[in-house]
Amino acid sequence: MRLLIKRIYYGIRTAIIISWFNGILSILRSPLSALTFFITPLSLVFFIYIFGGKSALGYGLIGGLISSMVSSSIIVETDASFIRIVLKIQDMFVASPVSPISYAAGLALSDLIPGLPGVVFFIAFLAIYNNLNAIQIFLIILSLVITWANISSLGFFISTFARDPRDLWVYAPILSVILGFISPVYYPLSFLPEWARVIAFLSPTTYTGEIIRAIVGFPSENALYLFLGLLLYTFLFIYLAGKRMRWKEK
Amino acid sequence: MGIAIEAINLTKIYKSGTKALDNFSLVVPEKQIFSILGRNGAGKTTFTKIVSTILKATSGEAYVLGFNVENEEKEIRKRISVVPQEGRPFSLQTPFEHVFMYLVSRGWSILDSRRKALEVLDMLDMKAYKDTICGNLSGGLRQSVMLAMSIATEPELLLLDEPTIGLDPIARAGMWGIIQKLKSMGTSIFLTTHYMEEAEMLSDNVAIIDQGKKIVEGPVGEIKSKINASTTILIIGSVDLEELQNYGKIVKAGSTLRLFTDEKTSKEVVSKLLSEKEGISFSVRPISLEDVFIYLVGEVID
Repeated sequence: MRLLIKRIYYGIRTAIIISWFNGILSILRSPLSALTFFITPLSLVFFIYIFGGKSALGYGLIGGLISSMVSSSIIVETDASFIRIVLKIQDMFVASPVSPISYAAGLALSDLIPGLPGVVFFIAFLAIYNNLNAIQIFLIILSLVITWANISSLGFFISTFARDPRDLWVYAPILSVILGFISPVYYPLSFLPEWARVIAFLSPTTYTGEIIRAIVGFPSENALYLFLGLLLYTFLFIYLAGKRMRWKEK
Repeated sequence: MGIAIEAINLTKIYKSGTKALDNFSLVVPEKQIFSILGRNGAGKTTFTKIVSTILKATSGEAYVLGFNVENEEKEIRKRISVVPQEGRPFSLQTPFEHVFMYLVSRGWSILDSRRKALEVLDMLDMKAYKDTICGNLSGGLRQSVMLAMSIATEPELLLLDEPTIGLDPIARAGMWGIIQKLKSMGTSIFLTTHYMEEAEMLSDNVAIIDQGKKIVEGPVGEIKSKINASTTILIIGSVDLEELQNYGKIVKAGSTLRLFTDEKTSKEVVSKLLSEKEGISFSVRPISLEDVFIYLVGEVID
């Protein structure tokens, strides 16, 4: 038991130091990088407000919040591939006592850090605009944390397919658009025709969108089932990432 | 003296079908500098990755510091450190932050990591650059950051995969000094390189590998004595090969011919080459490790 606690302690410490190194130091030295995760969702919310007025703004803010989270989570795909293929520093971690879980958690946390200002902005805006209480805010944050774990795991899983530096910038932008913009995050699932809803449920952010809309008080599908669906998806991606993550190459 | 690395009939076949190692066996003694030499694609990096527990072998066995690379990797990983080939530090972080982060992630305390990072950067003459972001450092200094991260962990075995590739001669000589210093501190060092003078200058023992197979292994002097020649004549230009073969073994490497002979015969060859038509350039020198390498893996002209 003591050994397990010690392992968990060192694992968390490793994840924190990697996120300080790759996340906090990077944003301190290149503060504009925070804006890259934030600017596109913000401009989309702006257009939604211009064309849809106040009634659409609530949906737009939820979409902006999820998009910001997706952009700063899926980027781990590029980062993990870059560190493995270009910097080759992953090899130094593999040939060390560092566990793949702490390394992956550290990288995922570090990539979340530049996206946090955007996420915090949208949560604050959403909370003020919809007059949310503490429990609602807590539930929104919980859904976002699960979504972060979900999308980061998907990012790690996809990164294992990258073999060449040319692959680095391919997958994350595509996934970012599919998960953060095309999926029903800026608009309710009910706006889609029946056949398209089935396809939409293939995207994990559909669940997050519907859950947050339910928390805020917009009409939505059954939030409990959606929450379970999101959890299942998250476990699946964590499993796939763990299975495919090229810690020891074959 | 103990054994740092022992490989027994290691074979590695990649998914593409490429056979990178072919029944490769090797013994690397402890507390020495051992270099493995070979052309690009000879299998050096594959071997280094297998013994660093980064890559699985297809068959065969390998032991590092007495532990099996297949099922005792945790024990190995505590005791080794690796500098990967053409590895690069992060551009927005400083050398100090790299070393500090790597030590803390490996389980060192914050205070010890800070102290050790400063100590190692001082040892590598990098104290003046400790707070400069790596994006602003020269190639040599960036390579030193990778080395600093590795040696700060105080490994029993340090694996350096082409650590001086791309460095200018002065930076390379600086790196050699550091490697020798580490050896004097009792670290076992395993080095891959294709710079022959580097291996000759640094190594207690070398192994030459080609197409995944070990060609020869031993101390540099012993390896040199394995070829029956003391002098090499490098020739560029059109010569009568049949006649030249009477003086020794000829090996072709690129557009250069190397005639392996003894000192006395070399004088005869020189006077003959001087009397030949123009357009031939040549130089005479004692056998070096590079010559031995070319002799063993070059294209022999029969």
